[in-house]
Amino acid sequence: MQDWNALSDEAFRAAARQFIETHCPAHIRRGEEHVRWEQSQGWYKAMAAHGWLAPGWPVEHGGMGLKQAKHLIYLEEWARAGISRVMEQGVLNVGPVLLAHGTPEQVAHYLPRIVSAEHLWCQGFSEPGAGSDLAALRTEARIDGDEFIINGHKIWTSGAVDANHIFVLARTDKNVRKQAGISFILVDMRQPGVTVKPIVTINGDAEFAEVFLDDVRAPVANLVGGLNNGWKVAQSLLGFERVWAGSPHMGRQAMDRLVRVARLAGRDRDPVTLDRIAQLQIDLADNAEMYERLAQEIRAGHSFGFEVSTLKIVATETYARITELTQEIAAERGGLGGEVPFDEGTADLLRDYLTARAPMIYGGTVQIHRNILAKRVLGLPG
Amino acid sequence: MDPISTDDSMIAELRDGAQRLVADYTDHGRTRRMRRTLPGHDLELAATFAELGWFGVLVPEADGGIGLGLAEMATLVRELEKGLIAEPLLAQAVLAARVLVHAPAGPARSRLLAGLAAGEIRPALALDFDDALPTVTATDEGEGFRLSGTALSVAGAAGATHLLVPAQLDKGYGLFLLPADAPGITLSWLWRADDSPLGQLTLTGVTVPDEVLLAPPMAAEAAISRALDETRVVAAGALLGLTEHMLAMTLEYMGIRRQYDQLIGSFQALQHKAVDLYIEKERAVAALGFGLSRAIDPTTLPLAALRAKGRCSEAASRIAREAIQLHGAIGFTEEHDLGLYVKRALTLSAWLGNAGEQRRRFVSMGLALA
Ligand SMILES: Cc1cc2nc3c(=O)[nH]c(=O)nc-3n(C[C@H](O)[C@H](O)[C@H](O)COP(=O)(O)OP(=O)(O)OC[C@H]3O[C@@H](n4cnc5c(N)ncnc54)[C@H](O)[C@@H]3O)c2cc1C
Repeated sequence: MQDWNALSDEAFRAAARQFIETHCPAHIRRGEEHVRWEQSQGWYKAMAAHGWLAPGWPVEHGGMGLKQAKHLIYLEEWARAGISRVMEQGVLNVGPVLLAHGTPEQVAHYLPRIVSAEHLWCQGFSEPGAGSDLAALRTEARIDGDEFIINGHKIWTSGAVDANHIFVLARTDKNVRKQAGISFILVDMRQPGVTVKPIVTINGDAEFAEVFLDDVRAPVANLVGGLNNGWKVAQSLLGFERVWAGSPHMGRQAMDRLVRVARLAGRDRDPVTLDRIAQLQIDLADNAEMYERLAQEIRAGHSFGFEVSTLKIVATETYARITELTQEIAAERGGLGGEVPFDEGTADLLRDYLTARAPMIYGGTVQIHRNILAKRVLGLPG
Repeated sequence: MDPISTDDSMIAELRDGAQRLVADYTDHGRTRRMRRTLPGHDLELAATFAELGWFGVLVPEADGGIGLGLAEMATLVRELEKGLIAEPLLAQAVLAARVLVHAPAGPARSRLLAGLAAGEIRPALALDFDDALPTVTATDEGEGFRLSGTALSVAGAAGATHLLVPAQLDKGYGLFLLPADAPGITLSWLWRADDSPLGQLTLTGVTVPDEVLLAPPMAAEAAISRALDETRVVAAGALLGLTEHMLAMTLEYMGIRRQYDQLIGSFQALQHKAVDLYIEKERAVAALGFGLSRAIDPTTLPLAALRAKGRCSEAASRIAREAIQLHGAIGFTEEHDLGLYVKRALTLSAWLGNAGEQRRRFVSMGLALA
């Protein structure tokens, strides 16, 4: 078994790059876009077969056991190759959550099935009435013998059309503070009562869906982290990957496209355009510098805190501004959809512009992250 | 060897020293009284700086200085600006000092640097607006030179004992050393946004001996351009100090001022504004760190300088104007200290190039489309 952590950073990066170049097909390299399982399963299974699927998991569970610094390098290489995330919830969230809060039986049952791609997971948190205010969720789970009976309505569930398992937050006690009556439950979607209704995104993709749960059953043994403890379990989710949400990779890819479009559109000598690109280049570079400082802390084994909110805000907003300028400097062509023709090539302007809206919304909106910083870092009142 | 180092314990020591001085010595009554006066900084304070050796922080040990680096100096002025007491260090102990450090070795240079480190010699660099070399010509008289012309932007001229004057020779600009009281020199004054003096120098047939040519053409321009970039990095530290101070003042005010029966800091519109200012401050910290980490190598210095100075200028001027808004009318008064910091921020943002100027340099280096 390869001990990746024993490699130098450079050697590990080279190995990751080589793996990606050998096995990742072009149709997976669509950046922030969503790719359906039909197209992505080959790549998922190739990662699993070669042991490159689960960077953060321990080796004994089929992961790479990467330390965080190496893990970041692997993510950087994914980003460099423009790889889209494919059915990531199992690897990203279910595995780590079970390792932290699950029973030995849950770990033994579920982790191998994530690696084998038998179980495809989606995250059932948001509801029509519970978005930023997630604790307001109303999906209910009541115990009937050794089973939960679950009723409710989840929404914006990424990958639900392809998934066969969903982890849900459900209310298990209505008589306590709203955060205190929530449980984290693993649910098999292959049963009557689960209805998945796709939602088409603004970009025309089938990225997310509504999930209706009508008298859906799950064994009580599928409870993770104890009854009414689901809020805490959910909070621990995404601990490390929150760092990645603040990395400059999305902005960098968008910047490459901006520079390309500036040339295509003949604006590469226009002083107004150059000044505005320079501003974004400098913003991106300073964001990268902030991110690098955090990465260094992580490499040194230090813990991280609310910097991740700062980074998330600047990374997603700078990314969005870059796509806005790309669309704007294309002038009249910026009003065209699809691959837009220029004299010397084509570019899809609208898709990038729209795609860049999403990261400011998911994973906590940029407004919610500002609320967090105002209270936790600046200590502003109420 | 360039004396730049980043010995952390030294940085901490200087930071603590500067913080103590700011705590003991800040007096905005005095700050106000010095406005539109000459030399515009406190002489007792300058004497203290000299005692502490702070004029020699950037002077190599071999020349009698402490021989520390830009990081130490940036730390020092970052703290001192919180009490508005960093002058005349920036103009004299950073810009002029670094021109001398980068000038070719020679007895005159060594004497000057030793005098500077001891706090006896206070040099200032004569420039035109926007960091241009001044319109001064030097004619070779066989024995000595005759200098005539004007330099319209001489920071640190007030209180300077010597002027470093770039003057055009046949083959480019040479660097000359003039005593500030040499016959034929006249200085008049413009007032910067913070009411400190900016010298405007006129030279009418100033005659000087050969020895005062500190650097011949090429060497002179190289020394000046490197010193300007290094000073941009240190000035970025000063701007960061102002940024931190104005942000802290604003957050404090948001936590005491009540309207509509609430602290104004509880209004979300203001919280989000404050967070954006905090984020800009954090970015300035990162940009300064970037600048300092690449300031030693002359090939990376220009980008390091423009990134640090541009970001910190932007952060300071943005927080300055938002701080006024978040204070309401009290922020618009002469009485409130905020205005002193705002004006200082405007002064230093503009000096050696504001954010827009730095972007222009970035574009001219071909980096916008890189
Ligand atoms: C592409 C995409 C994929 C997603 N995938 C998933 C998934 O797989 N599983 C899942 O559970 N969820 C998913 N989500 C949902 C996501 O978590 C929510 O969209 C997010 O939490 C915001 O909730 P909301 O959309 O209901 O907006 P709301 O909370 O209704 O917010 C609307 C607006 O009001 C603002 N706002 C709300 N409250 C405050 C406040 N207190 N202060 C200031 N402003 C406020 C918000 O910032 C926003 O601008 C996804 C979303 C997107 C866009």
